[in-house]
Amino acid sequence: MTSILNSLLKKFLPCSVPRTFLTSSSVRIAAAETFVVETALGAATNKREVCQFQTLTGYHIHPFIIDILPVSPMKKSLLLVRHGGVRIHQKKLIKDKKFQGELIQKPKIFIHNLHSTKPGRFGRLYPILYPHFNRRFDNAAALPDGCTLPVFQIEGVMFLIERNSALLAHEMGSGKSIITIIAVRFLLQKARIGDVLIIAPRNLLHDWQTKLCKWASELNVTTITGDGQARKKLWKMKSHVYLTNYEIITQDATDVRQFDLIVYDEIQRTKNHRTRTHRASAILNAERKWGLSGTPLENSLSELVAVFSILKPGLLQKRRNDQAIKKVTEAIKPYVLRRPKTETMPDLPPIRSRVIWLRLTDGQREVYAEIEKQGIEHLNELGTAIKRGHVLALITRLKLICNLHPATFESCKFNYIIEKVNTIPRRNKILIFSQYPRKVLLELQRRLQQFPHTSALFYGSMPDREKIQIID
Amino acid sequence: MIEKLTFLDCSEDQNTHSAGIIITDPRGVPRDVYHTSGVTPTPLQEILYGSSLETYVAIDCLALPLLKNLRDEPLILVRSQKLLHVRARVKIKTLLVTSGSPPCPHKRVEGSLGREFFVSPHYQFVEDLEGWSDLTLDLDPFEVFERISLFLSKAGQTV
Repeated sequence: MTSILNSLLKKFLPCSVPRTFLTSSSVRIAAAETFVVETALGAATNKREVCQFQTLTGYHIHPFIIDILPVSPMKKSLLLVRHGGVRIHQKKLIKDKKFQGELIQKPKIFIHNLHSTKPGRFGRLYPILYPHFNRRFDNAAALPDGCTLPVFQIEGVMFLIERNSALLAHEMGSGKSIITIIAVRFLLQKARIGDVLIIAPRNLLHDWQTKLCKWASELNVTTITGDGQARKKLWKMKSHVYLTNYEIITQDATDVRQFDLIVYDEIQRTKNHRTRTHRASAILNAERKWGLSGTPLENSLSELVAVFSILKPGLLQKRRNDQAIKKVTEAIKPYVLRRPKTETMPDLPPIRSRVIWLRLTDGQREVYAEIEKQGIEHLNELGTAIKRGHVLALITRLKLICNLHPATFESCKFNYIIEKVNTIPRRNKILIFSQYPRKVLLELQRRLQQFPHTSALFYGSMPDREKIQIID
Repeated sequence: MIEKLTFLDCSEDQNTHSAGIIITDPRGVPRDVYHTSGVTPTPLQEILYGSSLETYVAIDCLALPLLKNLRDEPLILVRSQKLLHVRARVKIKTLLVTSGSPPCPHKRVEGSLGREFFVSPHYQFVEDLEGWSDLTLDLDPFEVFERISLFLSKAGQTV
């Protein structure tokens, strides 16, 4: 029976219909045309299906002499299938658009280049395809080679992913950005977010880029920089992570679209609700907002209120400091996680502080006394016009002399440092801080050249490119 | 030593069928990904194709066109019996992955973190099982299938 059907259908099928199914032994799974015939043949044994078939197609099926006839006014007989034999009156059954539409269409095939710098419309979903974190966050394939997460970092990741508003306030150096990156990856893997905006101080952007490259190499990162025109294009680019700084946010906040998650690194930058930075940060729209800070409360409770007005608007009201501490602490408790270094890095040795008093060189003492005398005279001359700034300017000049003689470059501090450097093995590292890097540290670096230790100078006003080179 | 694994899976969401392939390294890190758009049979098609609809859609409409696009012929892993039948239509070794009560014949494989699973061939191609004795893989195959499933479900919403 099937072979007769096949041969007849083969003869009358139009070329546009794929014929491969006709050679298959399994006609049943081949194509809709065949099924029309088979359904018709099976009609007598399955009345419910026949009824459905008739309702949907408008074709009648006779139980014994099985006819498939259109109910249209034209009354054209299309296919007549007899019990024990097949006779096709017209080819029209196959050509009939109604039937051809009932073939299941082949789908489109999409081939993905996961490493493309310009992911297409499915690019947002690529993180789903990479190895997912397990419950213990310890599967090696999901982490960079040789890296593991300590328990307090896993706790931090869990804390973030479970909250739409959160303040991660671990002490500086405990890996808040890595915790955040892992939490972001987790949410992207589970398709719970599609993109994230990370706002960080300008000098930390490179650090974020480096960490994202290491800990989330599968993510597409766009750093928003440049002039207004360039930024407009960058904001429109398809990406998983958008990285920018607070200065740019103050300029672009009104044009920035909604993100699934916004991370405010060093969120204490928004602690003053009167500043443009705070206002711009507050108008950004996202379902999830996380803040990171090693020092969430620096001076007053109003800072915390300002920070939470961004992270969770409406949680805290402006209250007077003395009355509200307890209430504020209670209210923010579910949203804050803070671990001191003693908990996050118990193996670190304690910091030892030693204050060493040095005697100024003769030359420094001489010039110090002279400048001090001139300064006091100047302040006296100013009389009532004297301002705090005048006094601070004099103190600054005197402090600089304590560091370095302005003409001869004699320095008791330099002498001490050089003496110390001589005693420190080369494999050890030395950090020297100064309030006046360009005036003091440049000179110190020049003098340290005589030692085998190599030195690098880093200061805030240095161009970004130079900073990156030095850090790298 | 297995260098590449091909995970083939199909998913159905609100009567829309789609399929995807992830080719991974032995740790489960994806190298290539292919997927189909969704196929939604109409009520009439459901009647016309009857009980064979699911297999027809999974094999003929989704899996075979996807496999045609593969550049080489790696080993295919599937997690549904239905998709194992693709082996009858292609010359690529195909194995069914199960976590318990595997059909015979089968081989036990140790996955990541000591989680074991079993691989079984199509009954007509038992030789596909060769080379799978005492194998350890640093991945959880079911986690990879879950990735495909989630991707297909989200991709369906994107189209």
